[in-house]
Amino acid sequence: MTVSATDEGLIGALKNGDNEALKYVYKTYWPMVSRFVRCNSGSMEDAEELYQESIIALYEKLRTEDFHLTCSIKTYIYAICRNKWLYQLKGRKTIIDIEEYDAISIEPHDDTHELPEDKEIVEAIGSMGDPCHTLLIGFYYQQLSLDTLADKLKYASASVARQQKFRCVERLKKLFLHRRYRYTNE
Amino acid sequence: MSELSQTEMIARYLQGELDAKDLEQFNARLATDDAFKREVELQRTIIKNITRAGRHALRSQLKQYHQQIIHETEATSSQDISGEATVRGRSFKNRSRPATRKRALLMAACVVIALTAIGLGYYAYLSPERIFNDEFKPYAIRTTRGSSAPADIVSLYRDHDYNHYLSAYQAREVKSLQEIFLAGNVYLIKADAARAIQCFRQVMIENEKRAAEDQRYYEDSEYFLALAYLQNNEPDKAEILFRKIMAAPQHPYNHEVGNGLLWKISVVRFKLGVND
Repeated sequence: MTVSATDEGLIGALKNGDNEALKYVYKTYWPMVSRFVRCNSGSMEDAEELYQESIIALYEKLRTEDFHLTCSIKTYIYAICRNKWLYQLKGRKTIIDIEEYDAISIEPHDDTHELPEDKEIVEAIGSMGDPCHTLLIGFYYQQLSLDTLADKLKYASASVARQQKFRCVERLKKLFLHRRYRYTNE
Repeated sequence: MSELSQTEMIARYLQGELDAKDLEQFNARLATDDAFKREVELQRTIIKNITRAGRHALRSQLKQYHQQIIHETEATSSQDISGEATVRGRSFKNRSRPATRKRALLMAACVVIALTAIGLGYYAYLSPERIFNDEFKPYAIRTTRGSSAPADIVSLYRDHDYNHYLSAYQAREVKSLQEIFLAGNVYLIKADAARAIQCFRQVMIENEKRAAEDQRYYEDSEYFLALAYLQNNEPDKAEILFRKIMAAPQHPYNHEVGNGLLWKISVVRFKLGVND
């Protein structure tokens, strides 16, 4: 299995947080996943849910250091969707493949679904405006470099982005502690 | 140490960026200073939850893309209608005595615009493949039907084990009509319309050589061949077969073909420029 030049370009763009590339990938492979789920006893809603989870899994997998895609994006997305859907069906039914399927190893990604979610912190992050929201999510979730973030947010240099990032974490801590204080006094 | 430099120090610690000397000092403070320890834990929790927030943000973004796909394919008229309503509401608000005739005309125009938008949306949405997806249901094996095929290969189809069915089918030197017909269905499932067409046509040709009372899978193949033509983007050929089925009340698939289906095929034929 090889990765085409187009896919390599897309993978690079996805790693750099390029929204146009993400939209392109999402729109390109949706019909395939939709057809697969509907051929296998699922509804359109099931397909949407499954597809979005799979795209998120791909997006996060691309950011893990030791991960290198050895097949096409299409094949990988199909394999993730197939595995996830098979798990949901729990062996109730045999899968009907709509694409050539060669079993490829997909390790479960480091899924922070398993982490205890601190709703207050997530809300506090969600309520932060830019640049902090873009900076923190860009750095910690999208794993963009400080150079890329400086460029994106029009900062003079990576070190400005770095200092701003620390200020944002500091702000977030205060915001969170303030909320917690307010809730405990209500 | 200022708050900012402390935050920076903790961040560097959490990312494993402290050198040996700083790490030693950091660990020493961690062991003795409870407030500092809590601060480190808070920052660790915050950073972990940024991942969660990032995932929420990504999910919202994907949902937006999904909505765009739906709007692009279906071109719903809701925006047109709400847009018209706003214009209408504003214009009436400024008048103390609304002109009834004008209002009626405006409403009629809104209805026409809405219907046109729905029509255009549907026109844009329709394609041979979409009609195929709406109509196609894989053939379900009836156990009472006479068959010369060994039970094992048929059971593969019945169990939806299509990959193994195809492998067994391709390995077989002599293929029964039932096997060829079922292979046609599997090719349709796998979106290989060209091969599906070959299978269904072969069943029909073989049947034409047989006596009328020994016809097997002829009518089934006729219906599925029409569907295969749709999948193969040949709505004109599909239409001929569907019309034939519709004109024959005794045809087992007669109830599957209605005027609605034929109308949709006419529309896609027009779109594809294959109209007579």
